Amino acid sequence: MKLLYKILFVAAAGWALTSCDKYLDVKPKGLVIPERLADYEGILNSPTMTRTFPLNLLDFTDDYFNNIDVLAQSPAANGYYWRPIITVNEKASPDVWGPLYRVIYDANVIINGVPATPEANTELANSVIGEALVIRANCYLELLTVFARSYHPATAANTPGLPLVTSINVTDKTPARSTLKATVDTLIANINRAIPLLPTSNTNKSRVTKYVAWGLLSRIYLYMGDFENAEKYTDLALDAPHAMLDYNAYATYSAVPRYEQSSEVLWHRAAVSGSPLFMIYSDDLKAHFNDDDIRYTFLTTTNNNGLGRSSLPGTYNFGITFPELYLTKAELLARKNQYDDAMDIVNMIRQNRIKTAAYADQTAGSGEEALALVLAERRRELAFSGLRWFDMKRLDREGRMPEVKRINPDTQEVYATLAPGSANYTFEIPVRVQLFNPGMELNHQ
Amino acid sequence: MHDLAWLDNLQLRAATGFNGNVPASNAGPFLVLNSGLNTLLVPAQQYFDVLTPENQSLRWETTRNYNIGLDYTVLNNRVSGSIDWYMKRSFDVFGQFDADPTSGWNQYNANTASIENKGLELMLNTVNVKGRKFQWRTQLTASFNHNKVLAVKATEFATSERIALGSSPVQGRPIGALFSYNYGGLNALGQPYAWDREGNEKVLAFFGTAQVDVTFDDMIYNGTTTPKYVLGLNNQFDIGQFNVSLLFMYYGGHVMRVEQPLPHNIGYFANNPLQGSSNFWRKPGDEKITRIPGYVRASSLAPGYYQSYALYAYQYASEFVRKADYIRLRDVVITYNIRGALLNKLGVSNAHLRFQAQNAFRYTFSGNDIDPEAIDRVTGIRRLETQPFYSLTISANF
Repeated sequence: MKLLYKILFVAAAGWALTSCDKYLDVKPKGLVIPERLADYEGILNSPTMTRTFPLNLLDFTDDYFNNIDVLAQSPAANGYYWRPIITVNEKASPDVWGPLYRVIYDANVIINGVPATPEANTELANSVIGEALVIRANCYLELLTVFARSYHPATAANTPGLPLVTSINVTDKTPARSTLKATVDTLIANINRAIPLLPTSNTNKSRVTKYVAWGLLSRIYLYMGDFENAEKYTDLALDAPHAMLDYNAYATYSAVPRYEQSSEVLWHRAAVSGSPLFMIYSDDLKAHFNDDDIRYTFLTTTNNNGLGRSSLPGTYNFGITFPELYLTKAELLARKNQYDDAMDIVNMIRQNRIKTAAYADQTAGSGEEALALVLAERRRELAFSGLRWFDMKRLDREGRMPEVKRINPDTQEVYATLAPGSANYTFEIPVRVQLFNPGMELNHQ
Repeated sequence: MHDLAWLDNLQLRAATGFNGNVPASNAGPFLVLNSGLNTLLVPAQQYFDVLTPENQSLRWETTRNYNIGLDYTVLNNRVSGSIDWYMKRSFDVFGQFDADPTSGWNQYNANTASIENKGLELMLNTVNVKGRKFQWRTQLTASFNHNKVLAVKATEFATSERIALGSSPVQGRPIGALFSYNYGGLNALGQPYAWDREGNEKVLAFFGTAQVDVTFDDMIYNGTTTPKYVLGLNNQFDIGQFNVSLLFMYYGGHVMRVEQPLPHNIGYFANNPLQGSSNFWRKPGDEKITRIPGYVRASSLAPGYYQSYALYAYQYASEFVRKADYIRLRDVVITYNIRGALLNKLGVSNAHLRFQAQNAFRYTFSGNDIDPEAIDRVTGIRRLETQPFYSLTISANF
């Protein structure tokens, strides 16, 4: 002990004589404090910025069947049964909210930090900022589908949206929820700011291009019901180089190109964690398929619980695909009553998905008929792709969503019902967030 | 020193010190990136990712020490020992602090508290018997610690559950202070409730528009989960070619929470349900014969629905806290030193046979069913008890 105290004396004296003027003088070793553009660009390659899709969004959909215990209070059960609070545990990072705001933090690091680098205002520096703006907007769009009511133009200015965070100091106070309109307007403004900064091609499909930004605008305007703008940006996104894959050309699913390199993928987004493998197809979704559909062979697997989802080679993608953009285009044409043009697109997709021997064109006699066929094709093509909850929410706003039920397959007991226009289309602000922000406006008053 | 023939040695020591700690480099005020290879990307790319967020509120952690000690040897070296008194004050101690997840982080490193530690350490060695064939020596150690939280960073939110879980230190109380609910039982709907200090029944609800909670003053302070004193008694006997030593340890002055039967643990693979878990509330009237809440209703519209947080009133109830004093036979060592002319001829020296038993015996004074070393004293969750460990060693030098 004596020796220890001697050492302490010497250390104390030494410290007194040489102490730093500021804390900032002591910089950590072996780690990087971002200073150069390359440090910030590296963040765009991080797992945080490339694995951004919260898998919970699949739990909420009518694509999915789960025999999960109705008494369970886990996020999976709460999401599946549309209970307002997804994450009951107020100590844990809340599902969906936590991981997406974590991505938003990284995006803000880039947006705030790049202008202070020596390379600021170069073409590359600007495009790095542009990529962060688009990734951030995508996170907010996903958050909107979960934690804010659907977008009605008439009421959006009086409906709560999301807290829009720009600070990267962890002790800063969270801003109040912007209105739904202000939130969406900010996203659109951010993407429009990004477009002139972005390149037309990038190092890999996880990185952002102009086309990705247009594709995201296509989604946002579709969600808002602004079909004119949705079509404009869908067309722009479809200008990106791409090619549909004819599933008839592959003997097995394993011969299909990997998601990361597929000519059908515009933007690759991986799940934050987990995978949809073995998630069970609901009876409703199964009824959309028949055995002539190669998707039914390539993308299903049977296990003890029923017919489960499987994956094409590579890391499962929840980002923007060209089939999605085509189906959006077809939907918008059908809505304008251009039903033949809409069906041309649907048939183009089907030729690539249905066994050639069994293929026959589908036809529609009206815009409404075509719309039904487009939406059915969208169910099939985009099953478990991360967009169904987004679709359910916007279709419910139009009164196009039937009642969805969670039924015990053994007893036929109805465990939960998501009625048209139900308040449960919107989940509640997570408990942990409520505790930090007692004044925050809630969705279920 | 002629007058003090019984005194062989006496030393007085005093020291004071001051030191400061910067936080670890990965937990400081800077935005810090780490790097890696993202194999999701084709081709794989080197990346940087944020390891710790920017936090300009961090300061140095500082500590001031005072220490006075006395070493003594008396009675012809038969009795020796030391007495040490210390006081240590630490300011701006680092700790994890809860963050609003909207910031992107669930916790961050912060200067959370100032703490005072005072204590006394005694050591006494005696040679009781000193013969040629038989020796008996005793070592007695005792340490007493008293610590107190002098100041604490105000928590930005506090549900009563966080008080019960000791999530943040409490000013004026020791580190490891344990607080509990005054559990009232179940109401006619089967909802578990806690009493507040005015005798109101509170069914806890931490979210939504009708939040119900008890305050800090409604909680019961049970004591500290850290032992206030630790006593050690070691006896060593040399009997001919045998050495025997026995080390007893006594830990006392602290408390622990003990887990209670709960039906939620039935059928949940990670937990083993405790005996009595099935005696839970099922129908009105059961509240007269059981204090164990039933399952949380699946729907908030079901009669008797309560939020799962209401269970905390039961799980962290004061009545389930008990004294954690225990004694343990930490170590028994029996050594047999093998000597013999034959061994010497063979060039073998220092040969011995050694048997050791660790944790062979333990007694918990408040009930011997619980090993206070194998329990989370705050949540009551138990682990496998410390198992006795026996070993036999034969060693020799060639």
